[in-house]
Formats: sequence, structure tokens, C-alpha cells
Amino acid sequence: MDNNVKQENIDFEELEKKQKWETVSKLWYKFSRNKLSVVGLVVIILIILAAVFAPYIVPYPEHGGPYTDFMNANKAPSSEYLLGTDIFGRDVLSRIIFALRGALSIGIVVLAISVPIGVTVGLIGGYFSGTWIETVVMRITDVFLGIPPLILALAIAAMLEPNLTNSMIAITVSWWPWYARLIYGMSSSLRNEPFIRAAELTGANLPHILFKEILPNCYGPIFTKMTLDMGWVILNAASLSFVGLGEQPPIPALGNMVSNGADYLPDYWWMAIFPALAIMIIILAFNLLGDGVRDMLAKEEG
Amino acid sequence: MENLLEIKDLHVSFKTYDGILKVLNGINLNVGVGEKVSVVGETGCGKTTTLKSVMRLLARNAIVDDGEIYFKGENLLTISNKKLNQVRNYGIGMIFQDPTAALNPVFTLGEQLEEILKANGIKKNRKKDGIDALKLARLPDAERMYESYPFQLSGGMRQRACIAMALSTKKELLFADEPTTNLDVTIQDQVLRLINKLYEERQMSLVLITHSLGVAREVADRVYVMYAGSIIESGKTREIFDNPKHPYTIGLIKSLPKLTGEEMAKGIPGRIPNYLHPPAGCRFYPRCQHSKSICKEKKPEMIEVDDNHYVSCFRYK
Amino acid sequence: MNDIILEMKNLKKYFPTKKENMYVKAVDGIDVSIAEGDFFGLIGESGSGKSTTAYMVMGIYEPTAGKVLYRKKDISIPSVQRSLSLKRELQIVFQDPGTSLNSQRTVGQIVSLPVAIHKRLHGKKLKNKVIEYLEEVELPAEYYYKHPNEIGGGEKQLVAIARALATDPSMIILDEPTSALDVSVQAKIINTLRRLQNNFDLSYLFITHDLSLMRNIATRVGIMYLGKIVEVGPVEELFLRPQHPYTKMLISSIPVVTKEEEKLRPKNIKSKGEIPSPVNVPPGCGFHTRCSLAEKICKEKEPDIISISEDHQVKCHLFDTD
Repeated sequence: MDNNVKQENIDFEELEKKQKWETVSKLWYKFSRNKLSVVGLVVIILIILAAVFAPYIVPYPEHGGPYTDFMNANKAPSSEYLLGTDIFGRDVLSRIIFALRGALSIGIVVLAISVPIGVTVGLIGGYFSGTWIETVVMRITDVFLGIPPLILALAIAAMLEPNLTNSMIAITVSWWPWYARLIYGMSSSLRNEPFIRAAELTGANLPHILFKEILPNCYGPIFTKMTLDMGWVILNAASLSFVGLGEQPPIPALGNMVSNGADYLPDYWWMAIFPALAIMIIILAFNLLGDGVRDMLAKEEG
Repeated sequence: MENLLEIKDLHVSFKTYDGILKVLNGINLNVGVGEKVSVVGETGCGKTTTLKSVMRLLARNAIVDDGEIYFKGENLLTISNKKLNQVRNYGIGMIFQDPTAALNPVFTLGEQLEEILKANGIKKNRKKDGIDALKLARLPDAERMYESYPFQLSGGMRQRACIAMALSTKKELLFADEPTTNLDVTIQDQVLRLINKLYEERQMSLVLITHSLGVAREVADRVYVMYAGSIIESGKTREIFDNPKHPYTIGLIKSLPKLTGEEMAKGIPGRIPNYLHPPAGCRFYPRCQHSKSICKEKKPEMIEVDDNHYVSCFRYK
Repeated sequence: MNDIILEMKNLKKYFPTKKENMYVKAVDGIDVSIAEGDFFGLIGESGSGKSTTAYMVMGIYEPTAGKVLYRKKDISIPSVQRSLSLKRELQIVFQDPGTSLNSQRTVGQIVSLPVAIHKRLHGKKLKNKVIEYLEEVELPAEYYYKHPNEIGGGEKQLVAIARALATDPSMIILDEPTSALDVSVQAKIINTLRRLQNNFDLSYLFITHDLSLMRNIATRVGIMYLGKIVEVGPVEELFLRPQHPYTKMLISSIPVVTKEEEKLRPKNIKSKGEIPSPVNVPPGCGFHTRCSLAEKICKEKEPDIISISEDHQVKCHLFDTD
């Protein structure tokens, strides 16, 4: 504490880099203490890479589109077709990998839109707790909370056409209120903490208080939920495509692969089982990753 | 007179992410029968760690590197769990800093007192004993208090209830960990006077852990001053305050604001050492204004400088 | 004679309870005058209303009755309605630096906020100014990138002080800033506060329960009990010649460390009883339930404020002039 070193001797850029590095390594340490979280991370990275580089790595690139080869239809898993073929003769493995693209994009798009909206609504509702602003904001949230994604998607499909974009809209609309709820709880309790009072008394404006003071204290739950939600959104999207909404054929989607393949159970079991397994693995991987994110961002005591 | 409690050369460290924290650096402490002793030190000096070592309540990442703790001749660190429980039930009691945390909110004081008495083997007349204990603790309207819940009482009353419970068991040694820190100064005064009065009437021993020199001075017969995991000075209370020897003790007393209004010192420069890489010699060396080169290399022994007044400092031979 | 910078006139704060017509009378009519350059100590135990008073001055609570005047202007409004320049002039340091600093922000970010808002600096100039303030409170410049949980309690409090200082205020309210700190750390902080008061021409309102501390650093003190000020005066006067029975009880309860101090403690008054609940304030003088000198009138009529000397007042029937 009795440091009389003049500031000219301190290299601030070095110091900043050093602090940031320390923060990152501490985060990694906390994340990686649970080996399963690392497994989840690795699987997700592989999935992402597979989705991005799909056309270059799949065994049969053309099978991701309107391809037919009835000579090779309904073939069981073999060395030629690792996961078998479907009724049109398309390689199941290739189609699953292509389907990952749609799955991941739905997850990303839905969260990229619903999280900012939900978090902002929650921050405002919580900060103004006890006033009419809170009442209005949170009751609107409650209304949206009551909308089940599937029903909404059916309604939208009936009004517009069933496609990927519209199923994204449907899921987004029903997803943001959960973030609003989550953040509302945290925001309304943090709102009375002395450090928020201190910021107000200093003269900080509302956006600063909401986004620079309250929000950073919510990162843990937000990112954990986002990670777990990727799995849930993908599952929801699969449910939509299962009933024919979402990605339309011939573009492969995990859900419609399962529903189409289900007609041929138990004889041509591979057509339904492998896409279903893919869904399971994706969700499991995100769950494991989510545990790690939660550990990583958990607040330390003292 | 044989000592009731003897801590010999206790070394305790903790395993953490950043490395090993070498906290306790050879603690030596005695408590005689009927003696009131205080361990005084600031935050992080290791006084609570010492207490937890005696009760074997240390965290899982704690390692006792060396030392013994004798209670009535038996080494608490090595006895069986069954015997340890006996000691915890009948031998050593505790009063904590936060009485709210120590009292179960869903039971009345009476119910909690009876449970303690029952655990102590008292079979009949538990209610009468309980009410007597509350009266002893100067709680007004003891019969009504007996039927009250902790939330109905003030902080001061709760602490007195805890003291009543601790004393009602007729244990031989009581540890009090910062028992008055959360109380108002007028209530603290009443509680300290109560402790003194009750101890007059009993053969119980007391170890009072506190960061407040004033509180130690009010209660203790002897004081141990702790710094960074070592006892750096010990002796009769009057001696320590009238004639402090260790630079840390002197600095601490000087930093206290006095009622007389005399100049308050500016504190002690520096901070407590990092337990990951504590100084090799005297742990106070980096902050000491009177240090010599030997202080950096060797840990000073406890030397008797006066009647029963010990210091761990190379300034004294 | 310096100008009066802060005044409270018959200031009251009552909090409603679930029962009708039953209020927590946290602050029940206090009058305080603080001059520029003063170091005013407001002393009280729990339930005295001292923190509530501080919060009303800062606009965290709105007064139920009475006024707070800053430089003769009525500022009895909530902080959201206050002007930016008032916020600049009147700052506060809270008791617990663990909760008054945002654990998710760095020291640099925390102290930058007031500078950015009130001095409109950014980039390198902002950083340099922040470092100036860190150096003022004797914190190393490297702390700029540290988070609060990486530094000790005393250092956290210095950050809070630097933050308050960074608006260039005229007056700082300090709400028990050292109560949670060790003695040696407290001494350092107090020394820093005194130096800052000198260097920056500050006025302080210091809220505490620690009389010995006020004896050393305050210029004037006021003793609060159950929402009222029972005695107020220059610090030396109050300690050498305490008048109110509660003041005497407080002084006699302090666990002192030297024989000289022991001599100063009033001998015949020992602490007894507990503070009544502020929901159920006793009639007459609120202290009568614990006062060994209480008489009949104390249980019936609230005492007036009586001047013992020009700047020393007591609120006690013992000094009634009739």
C-alpha cells in the first residue's frame, strides 16, 4: 500500500494485458475442473466445425439436396453408407451433418434476438420495481410467457408459410419472456444494493446503471441459461420440423428426418434412430457445457 | 497447576487453487483452570483457525502440519471421534459472533435449552435449570423468555441467551469468538460485565477471541497477541497494556483512538503478509520500524522479559 | 465564523408498519447545523436513526417532515430529482465497501464514473485523472485494473473514498466508514480522511457509534437516541463535561485501554436496559426507561432543548430552568 513508484514506470498496456490474461486463465480453470464440461465443449466445437465445413467433409455432398438414387435406398449401415440410407437413397450421415446447420442457426438466431430483448425488459422491470413501469412491463411479459412455441408456430404457419424463418420467429417470440423473468428477479434485488445507490448518487444515467452496473452481475445466469437453451431451442425446432413446420424438404432437418423415418420403424430403424440420437447428443453436449459455464461464472466468496 | 488446555507448536496450512497457505506458524497457548484468557488479533491473523483447530472443525482443505492440542492431558488432534464428541458435549463449549446464526429460529429458547441440558445428561428439572440459566444471564422476565422465539429478542438478548446456554452446561472451557462485536457498546458493556460476574462464581475457563483490545482488557486475566499466524506477545493483561514490548502491540495500541483525545497514530504501514509466501523469519519484519538483519532470516523465540510476560522479538534477549 | 453548509430543521422520518397508525419513528425531529470545514460526528447506537439521517441528506429517503438545507437551499427531495451539480457537491461513503463497490467492475472503472460524468473526460485524460485520485488516497496505480475482491477491506474503502472525492465535492457524508475495519487499517483511513479534508477544503458529516474515534477527529458531535439528538456541542466540551445521562452512559461503556482514559469515564453511571423499539417510543423523554435519574416529569413531558453554553445544547429535564 505504500507504493511510491511513479506512474511513468508502470506500463499500463502490459498491466492491462496481464490482468486480462489472469482473468481468462482463472475462468478456464473454473470451467475445466469438471472434466465433463470439457467433453461437452469439445463435442460442441466438433458439431460447429462439422456444420460450417459440411459440404467439404460429408461423404456425399449432393445428398443434402434433392437427390435420388433408388438403387441404394433403404440400405442398412455399412462401410459405404456409415449410417445407412433413407427411402430416397440419400446417405443418412451426410444429411444429419447438413441438418446441423439449420439446427445451430435456429439456436443462434433465436437467442441472438430473444436474449437482448428479454434481458432489457427484465432489467427495466426490476429496476423500476414498485412503480407502474414494472407492472406494465412484467404483465406484458406474463402474457407472452403463456404462449407455447408449438401452437404459435402452427398459427404463424397457417397465416404465412411454413419455413425456417417463420419457425425462428415463432420460437423467438415465445422465448424472450423467460429471460425477462430471470433478469427481473436479479435486477429487482440488486437495485437496492449500495453500489447501485452509489452510482445513482454519482449521477449515472439509466442506461449506464442498467447495462454497466446491474447487467454484469447477471452474466452467470444469463450465459448458463443461453448455453442450456441452445439445446432446448434445437429441440423445439426439431419438434416443429417433426410436424412439418420449419425447414421444408428436401433440406434436411433433424426433426423431419425423425418423423419420416418413424414411418419405417422397426425395419429400417436407422432412418429415425440416428437423427434422434443426434438431437440427444447435441442437447447433452450443451447441457454439459452449461454446467461448465455455470461453474466458470459463479461468484466467489470473499 | 496443570493447564486445562495446552496448544503446543501448532502449524496449520490450507490447500488452495493458488498454492498452500501457511497460516499458523507455531502457536503456543495455555489456559489454566478458572482462567480467562484472550486471543487478540486483527483480521486474518489466524485466531479463528486456532479455535477451529481445537474443536477439530477445520475445513477440508486444512492440513495440521505439526503440533499438539492437549485438553486435560489428551491430544485432541489424535483422539477418536467418539472421545472428541464427548469433549465437545461435556468439555468445551462455544459462543459465536452471531447469536442469530447460533439459535434455531423455529424453536423457543426453552426448547433449545432443554435439548442442551438433555445432551449433557441432565434428566430431571430441566425447565427449572433452564430458567435459572436465563436468570443468571440477566434476561428480564426469564419465564417469559423461556417461551419466546429468538426473533422476538434483540441482538443483545440473544447473545445473553447463548451465554446462558453455554454456561448452563457446566462445561469446563468456553470459547467465545467475538461475542460482542455485533452489539451496541452499551449492551456490550452489560454482556462483558455479565461474563465477568458469572466467571467469578464458577471454575470455568474462558478463551475470548477478539480484535478489540478494549474488550480483551475488560475481561481477560492474560492476553495473547497474535499476528500473521504467530503469537508475538503474551502476558498478564495489565502488563501488556501498561508495558507493551512487541512493535506490533505498541503500534496497535498507539493506533487506537483514545478518550483522552491524544494523538492517534497513523496505523501500521504495510499489510499482513501473503500466506502463500510468508516471510522466512519474523512475519512482522516487512512492516517493522525497528528491524535488524536477523529478523529477516530467523523466527524469534518467545522470551520471558518480565514476570510471565513473553515476547517473540529479536529486540529482547 | 464559517458559513453554514448543511442544516437540518426538525427533520423527521417515519416508516409505516403493517399496523395502522403505528410507525417506526426512525428520526423524530432533529436540528443540526454544520459549518464549512466542520468535522461533525453524529454518534448513536443501533436504532438511533443516524444512518436514516444520512440517507435523508443524500436523498435516498424523502423526509416525512422537516427540511434539509444545503447552502441555504432546500434539498429535501429524492436524489433522482436532484441536479447534477448538487450530486457533485454532496457525496457519501457507505459503511460496507464489500457492497458499495460493484464486484463486477474494476477499481479504474469505479472511480472513472464520477470523473467521466462531472468532468467530461475520456480516454487517456480520464485514466490519468483517475490515477491522480488513487494516488491521493495512497493506493498504487496498478490497482486500476483490479477487482474489489482482489483487494483488502481497508483498500476497498479507500477506493470508495477516491470515488467520492472524484467529483470534487464540498461535503462528504461518511456512514460508519471504518466500523468493519481493523484498528490499524482504521487509523490509516482516518489519517487519509484528515489529510483530504485539509487539502480539498471538505466538510464532513461522520456517522458512527465510536465515541473514542470522534474524540480524536471531530470538531463537533451530536449524540442521537431513539431518533432525537439528546446532546450536541464541541467535541472537547462534550467529552470533558458530558451532561446528558445517555452521553455519560455511552462514555462509561467504552472498553478503554489506558488508565488515563479510565479516569475520564463517568463513575456513577453504568449501562443498563435496552433501547426501546422505535415503533413504541416511550412517552415523555425516550431515555427515561434506562435513566437512573428519571423523575416523574421525564415520563410525561418531552424535554426542551436547553443551551448550556453558546454552542452546547442538551435535551433533558435535569437542566430545566424552572
